[in-house]
Amino acid sequence: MNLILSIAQIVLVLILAPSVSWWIKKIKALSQNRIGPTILQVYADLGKLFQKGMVISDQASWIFRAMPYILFSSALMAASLVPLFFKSSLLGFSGDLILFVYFLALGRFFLTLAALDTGTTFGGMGSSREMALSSLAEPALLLSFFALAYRAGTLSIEGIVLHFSLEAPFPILFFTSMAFGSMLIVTFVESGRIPVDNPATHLELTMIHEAMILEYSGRCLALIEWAHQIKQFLFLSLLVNIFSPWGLADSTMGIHLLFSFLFFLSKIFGLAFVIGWVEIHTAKLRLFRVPDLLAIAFVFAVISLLGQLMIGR
Amino acid sequence: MERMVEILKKKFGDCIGKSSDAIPRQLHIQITKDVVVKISRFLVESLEMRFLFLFASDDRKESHCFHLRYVFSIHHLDQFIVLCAPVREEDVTFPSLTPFLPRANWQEREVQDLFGLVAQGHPDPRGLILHEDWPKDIYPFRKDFVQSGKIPRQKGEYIFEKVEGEGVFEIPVGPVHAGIIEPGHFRFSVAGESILKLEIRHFYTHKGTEKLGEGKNPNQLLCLAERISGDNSVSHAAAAAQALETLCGIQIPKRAQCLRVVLLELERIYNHMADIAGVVLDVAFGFGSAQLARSRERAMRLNERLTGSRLLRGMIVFGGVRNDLLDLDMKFLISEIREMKADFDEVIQILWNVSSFMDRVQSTGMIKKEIVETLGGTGPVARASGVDRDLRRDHPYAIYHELLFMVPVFTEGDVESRIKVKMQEVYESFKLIHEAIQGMPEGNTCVAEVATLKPMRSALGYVESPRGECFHWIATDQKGKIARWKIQSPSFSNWPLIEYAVLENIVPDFPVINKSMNLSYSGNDR
Amino acid sequence: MQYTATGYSKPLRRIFSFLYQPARRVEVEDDGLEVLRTAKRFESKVHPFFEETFYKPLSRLILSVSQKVKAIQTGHIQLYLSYIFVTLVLLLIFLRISR
Repeated sequence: MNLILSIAQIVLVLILAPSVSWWIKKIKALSQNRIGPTILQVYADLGKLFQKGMVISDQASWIFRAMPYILFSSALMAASLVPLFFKSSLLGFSGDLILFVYFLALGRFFLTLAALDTGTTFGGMGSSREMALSSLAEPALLLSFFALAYRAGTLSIEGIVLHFSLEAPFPILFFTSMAFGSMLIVTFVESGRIPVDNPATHLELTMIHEAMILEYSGRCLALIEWAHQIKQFLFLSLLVNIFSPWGLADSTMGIHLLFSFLFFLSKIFGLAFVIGWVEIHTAKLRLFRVPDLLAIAFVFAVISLLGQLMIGR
Repeated sequence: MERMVEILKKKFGDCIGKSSDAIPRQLHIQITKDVVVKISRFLVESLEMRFLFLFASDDRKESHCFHLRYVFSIHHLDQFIVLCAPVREEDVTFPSLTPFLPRANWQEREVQDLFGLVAQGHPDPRGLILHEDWPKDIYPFRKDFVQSGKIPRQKGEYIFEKVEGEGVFEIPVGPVHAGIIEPGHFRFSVAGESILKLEIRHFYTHKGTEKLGEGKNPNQLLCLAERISGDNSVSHAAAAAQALETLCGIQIPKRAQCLRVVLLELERIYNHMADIAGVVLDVAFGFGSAQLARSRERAMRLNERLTGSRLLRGMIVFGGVRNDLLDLDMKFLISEIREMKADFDEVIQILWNVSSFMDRVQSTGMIKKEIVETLGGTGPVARASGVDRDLRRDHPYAIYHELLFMVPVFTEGDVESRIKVKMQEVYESFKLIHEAIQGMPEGNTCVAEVATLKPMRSALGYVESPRGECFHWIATDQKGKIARWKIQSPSFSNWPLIEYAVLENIVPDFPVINKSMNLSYSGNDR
Repeated sequence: MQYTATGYSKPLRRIFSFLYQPARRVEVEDDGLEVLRTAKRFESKVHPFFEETFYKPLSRLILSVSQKVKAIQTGHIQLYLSYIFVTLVLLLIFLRISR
């Protein structure tokens, strides 16, 4: 039964990931006096891309063809480590906290390589910016993970979630909220949102993530977009489940699962609303101010870890 | 102005030929081509005139030579001086003004490409208007150019200037862009993110508008003028109409002049709102740009309600204005302007409070004042860099001499200053429309029908368009048909400035800088 | 037009400029009007931080230590035999003490 539920979680990640993108688009549209897309639009876009043919440069190597599959499967593997509304994940084990970061790094490595593959300058631009920013974001993410792992006493994601769900709400203290701040900033960077990157822009010279996938079309592009949405969803799930894990189902009774699922959905959409709120109210930062933002995230993570080590849990 | 001719004759002797001041405020002087540089130096340095533009015309049928004309202005006297130098077919060279006045660079290259005259001493031998695949000895603006059929392409190469060094590479952008904008090529030399050098290359949409206007009747010419640059339709049409009216010595009725002012200011309003919306969009502040785009849409619907055309096309005719504005329309206009002003106010206040937006636009894309003056920049771009110049105030046309308005000038020359200039100009335009409507007399909106244009005359028409100074020169031949139409659009003057605006900025800031200058590709290419 | 390695690493060099201390030199054109001159040549260098502060001192240390240690390599077989003898004696003493 556990197995079925864990697999169901992954299937749900696949299904729900685009809807978070839709929600953020809808919020932004409403703030601009527009109606915005319906929820079916995001799925229809993915479906349309899957049906279209692909145009691949004959100068491209195997990396270009393989990358979308590698990216998508690494995102799925990372998804199999994160519990959503049920207490255990499919492949969770002790130490999977670090593996999560490196699955995403694997996907990112191939993404940046494939961007350089066709030899266009836009791809090189996007890839160099992505590498610079993620070289700052990954340490911040890992450090905040370590801070949380220290508090929970375990290096597995489901272990951390379980530990926090058993604690009373208010003792989740100052130091873990610093880790929350750090992870929230990293979420903005990883999901490519304003103030770091504008997902809706048409200006290639300003793009970070989009510039790397300019050469893709058809099925490959659909997989890349989907993998990006899954990554965004995973970060939101981590934030929600680690920092407000109450309501997580630990039995397999139908009613508990249903309640836990709905509660989880509302928390996800609530956090997505916060992301949309920030997107509406700020302009994109100048490229070389983003490292300052990431330095703040890093400092938060360091304070969180050191604070817990010195002052105690 | 006779004093002017006397001074020149005393200094340069026989090189000065006939002079004519038949057209008020426009003095024409014949000179020989060898003293062009000396006279220009004298006019600019000693008499403090400003060089505006130069152009050529093919008058071989009437006078057996080409003519080169150089237009200067004295803004405190509201005068223009046109020097006219004949160039014979046997010796098509002429001394280049570019080493002394860099703003003549593109203008002389245009003359070289289109007429086949050769500027001696010009530092840049590459073609400008006609790209490298155009055959070398076919000059489209000469009168003997056969316009039918396709011109065969030939192989050629355009060499971009690059920066040498290890690790330096080029980023080519365009001519096909990712949005619905016109073609233009930008070649960056970068070593990473900071821009070392930018070279632009345009003229992909060169249509030969000036030549198409030859032989047309006045209203057909105005129809063509409206299509030079779509969002500056009224300005170009008004400048061309003024050139024609000055040429024939016609004074249009005062009501028509007031209506022209209203149309020109309406155009300025929707253009500036769209510009600011574009800059805000390019820094990814979606909320701000959506609200400004909404204001602009409202302005365009107002245009349609008043004139039947969102771009105010079809209103300027030779001799006045085609349709009148009824009292009902004017009341609606005034109330709409009041509401648009309140809406615009609110959005601007929000924009200035968003610190991430202000951070993006401050000190981005700075253009120094000396570069603007050396390269001859005009319009809001120049006023944002401290160059205090506005044709409406310095060389008033229509009823601007009776209207009270302020010309906003800032000194930093960055994107924020350009936005501030445009914002202030929108407020001034609201006031100007109000004043023009209050002071509008009863009367005709157009003079009676004019049969033919006066033969063998030429005149200059000028308007301050939303992008800057717009000059039209029209000359007629012996039969009273239009023999030469020269268009000096503000974008043609301003495009070279962008090569300097992007230095010391990073590549992702380029779209903001480009949008803040908002230059027209079609207006440049004509 | 392909991205170069210098360009690719530029953001990192700029972000970590306190470490790399990049030095750049832009040569400007030398003809035309002063105010209109643009870049002609570009050179960029990175201060070799890790080499200077870590690898070089380490290799110097190892070299100096090994210079000193070279003294025991005289080439005389009698000295080497005496090394073996001394080592054996020390080992026997050590074994005796540790019992």
